Amino acid sequence: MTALLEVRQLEVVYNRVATAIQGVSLEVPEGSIVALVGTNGAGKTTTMRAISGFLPSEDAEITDGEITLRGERINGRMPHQLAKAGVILVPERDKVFSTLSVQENLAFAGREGGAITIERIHGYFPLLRERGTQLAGYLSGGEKQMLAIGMALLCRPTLLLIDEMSMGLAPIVIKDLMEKLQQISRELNLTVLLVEQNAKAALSIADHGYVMESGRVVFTGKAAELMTHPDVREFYLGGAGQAENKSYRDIKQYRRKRRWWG
Amino acid sequence: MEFVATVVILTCTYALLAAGIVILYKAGRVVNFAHGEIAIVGGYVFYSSGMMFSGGEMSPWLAVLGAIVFSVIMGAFIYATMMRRVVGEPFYVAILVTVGIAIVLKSAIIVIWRAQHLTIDVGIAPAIRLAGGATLSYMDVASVALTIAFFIALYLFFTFTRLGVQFRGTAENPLLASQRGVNVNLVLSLAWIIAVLAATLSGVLYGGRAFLSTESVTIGLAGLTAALVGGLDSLRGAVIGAFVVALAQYLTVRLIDPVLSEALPFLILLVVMSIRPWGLFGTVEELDRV
Amino acid sequence: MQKKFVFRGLAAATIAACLAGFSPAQAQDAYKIGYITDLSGPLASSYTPTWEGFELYIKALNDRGGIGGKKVDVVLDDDGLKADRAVAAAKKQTERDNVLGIFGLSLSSTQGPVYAEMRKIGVPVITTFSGILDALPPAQPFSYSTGVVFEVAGDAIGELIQNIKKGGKVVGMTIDSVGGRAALAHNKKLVLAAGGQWDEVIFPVATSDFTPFAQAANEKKPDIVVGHYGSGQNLGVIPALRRSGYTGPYVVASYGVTEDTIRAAAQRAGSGDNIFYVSRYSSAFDKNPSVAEVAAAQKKYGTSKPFSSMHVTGWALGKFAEEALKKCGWPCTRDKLDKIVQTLKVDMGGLTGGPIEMVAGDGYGPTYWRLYAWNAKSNEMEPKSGWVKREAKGYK
Repeated sequence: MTALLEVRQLEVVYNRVATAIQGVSLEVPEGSIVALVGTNGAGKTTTMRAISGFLPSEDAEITDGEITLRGERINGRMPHQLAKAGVILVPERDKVFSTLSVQENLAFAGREGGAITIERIHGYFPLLRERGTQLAGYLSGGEKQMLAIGMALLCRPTLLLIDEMSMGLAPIVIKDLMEKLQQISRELNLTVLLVEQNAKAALSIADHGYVMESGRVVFTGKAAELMTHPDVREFYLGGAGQAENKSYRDIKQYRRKRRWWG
Repeated sequence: MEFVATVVILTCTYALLAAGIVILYKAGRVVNFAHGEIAIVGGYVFYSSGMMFSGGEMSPWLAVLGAIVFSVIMGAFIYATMMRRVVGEPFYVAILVTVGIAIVLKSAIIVIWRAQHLTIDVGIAPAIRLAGGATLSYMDVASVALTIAFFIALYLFFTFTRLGVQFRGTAENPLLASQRGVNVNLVLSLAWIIAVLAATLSGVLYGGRAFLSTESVTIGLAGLTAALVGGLDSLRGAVIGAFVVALAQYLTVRLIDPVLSEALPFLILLVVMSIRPWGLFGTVEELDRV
Repeated sequence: MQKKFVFRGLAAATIAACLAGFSPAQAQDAYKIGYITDLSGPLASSYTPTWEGFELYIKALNDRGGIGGKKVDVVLDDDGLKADRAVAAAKKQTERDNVLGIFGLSLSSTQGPVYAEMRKIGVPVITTFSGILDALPPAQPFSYSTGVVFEVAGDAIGELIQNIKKGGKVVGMTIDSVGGRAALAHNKKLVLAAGGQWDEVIFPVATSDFTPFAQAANEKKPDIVVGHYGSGQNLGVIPALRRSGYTGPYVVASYGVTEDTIRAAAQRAGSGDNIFYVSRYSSAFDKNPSVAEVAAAQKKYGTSKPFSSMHVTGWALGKFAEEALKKCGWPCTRDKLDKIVQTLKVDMGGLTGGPIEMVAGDGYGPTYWRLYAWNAKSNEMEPKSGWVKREAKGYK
């Protein structure tokens, strides 16, 4: 069985000189959850952007390698083309429309017909129903993440990319979200690529894992195996990453909220 | 009474312009310096299409039709041929493009209409007689009604239609919007069409009350001031800003020195920009973008 | 109709260019003069009919066989009310087209520089409007005007409005310009001398919504309001004044204001009552043989603008030009033409109240002014006074 998404020997160069990632290969089989973990600056985000077409066009360039979706080469496609093909990204920041209400956010993407309805999203995340009329900008970090996943699901993804889902969230919230995601993936046979600094949380629900370091994949294997791998345990699951997560970015969650009517 | 009426009518003219400027800014982070020109050209088009088939007598329906067709084509054309190409460029590139559009449109007034002073004589008969002998025409009454209708329509569109919601989302985060399957080009064309439509309406109302000429494009400046005073990204601010500019202009004419009224929008702008650079209702964080 | 005019203009320009470029022999057979005015700028609506009046005269003259068998060839250039374009056109006309003199011109802003440039190379300039006082005694060399000077008009109007109401309060309105303010100052002097009161409202040049200014004027409780500005302002001010509730007399000072403008303004105002008009040249509605001659030419050759006193003004300048060239003889030179114009006296028939009469040191001469009233029923202009005479002296 060929994987839904295959990345082979990917190389991305910034500003023509700085090689951000090199020789990155990974596979995301249909219906599975794959975690791509590593510390800040390991090249995870670059990999994710290359897949979703969000590399800033002037600064970064795929110089080598290939990305295929169901065997079809997709590197260099524009984000909206990829979105049509079913590659849906939940970005790390600005993942919801903060000037729209929760309902409006969901309606924004919701299409007629299909298995995934707003009702179903409400079923997974009942809180979104309660907060329906609230502006998304006023949601907590965890609620925003729920909403973002809900929106993404309504776009009928074949491949869901989630960038730093656990960023800035409390451990209990992370645990809840991860479990929910696992449930959704199983029920909908949804393929998910998780890109996470929080390796422990991501690997806990993933089928397969890749560990990145300095722009290369350094470990790969079944998630359960990686969890018990001594080096991985020492460097990535020791909790050091957790403390680092409390960086300035968390503060951004509390920026002044914009509203449409001013 | 007369004072109130004049300020209200002037507020309407400026609010329509300011609303267009705000919508364009919100949708595409473009500050449109051609808005006055668009408004006046829209007025000219209204006049010419009304006069097209009727020897000397204006046909209001043809005029309205012509103005709407003009707005749709003009809005879509400006976006498709010019503004789409400057997306992602520094903000001043877009501003320079609008300045270019302004110059071209002003030349168009000279070439096509020979810079003629035109008045739009629809509904100019007195409708309401105020105490003291002053009168308001049907056009004056209509301008207030149409402006209110425009803002209500805008509110309904942005609140209750899917396209309106997508519009607001795109304004906030075009990248995410395109990722969620929105045709950003369609939304931005729509922004231009709405803005040109509002401007044309404003130009027509202005042509009914004052007249159209190459000089009357300066109302664009009053509209821009109103938008900036209200906060460039606030529709509510656009109305308040329009009121502030209209009131200040009127009071200057009546109480201080009429000659100052031309410089007044700039004065208000300077004062607001130095005290509240983000405008009365604008968002602070928007500031670094301009 | 407007488009046709553009094409006609283009065609004329092309033909003129061809004539200038390729057939110099033909050009030598004609008196060549230049005409520069604003045909596309903000004041085109005033200046186009004046040019058309001049053009009518020259056409009729050439059809009569010209002057002593020589045709008069007019090189027309549009300055768009821009000084640099006017100067460039004047240089082009003197250097390439080799014209004998330059006629027409628009506002003071374009006249001043052209007068100055042409003075340097000795080309007589005869303007139809005169925002500046170069032509008035003591006149600058090569500078002449057969048109309206703000100061003189203000003065004449100050006297003529006594026919409407003696004394009382007069409110003068104008745009914020040197000429406008000068006109108000002279108007005021005469009003005060006649025992009346004076107040004024001055608004910015680029104004197009006159409502607040009209309300300000009305609030001063005037017995008469006088407007010292062009067509566009009258088109805006008259309806605005009537809307503000002022129904009293309003006087249009004819700085290029056509009767058609007044008709349109009256229609917009809902009433044409109590609108007056002070003009240096006869109204197009005057019934005398001279005006009838202009009307006949207008019928014969056609114009893009409705027949107006501005056509009469241009026609008068054409008459003046013919006399000057006739006296200059063949071949005529710039110096000779200037000498002739310096002391030229041309009978104007019924075009205005008396002859145009230049004397040494006075390039303007005595002028005649008349008060008209708009007849709202017949949509016609009716004389309300005889011609009053103004000497050119004493304004500098």
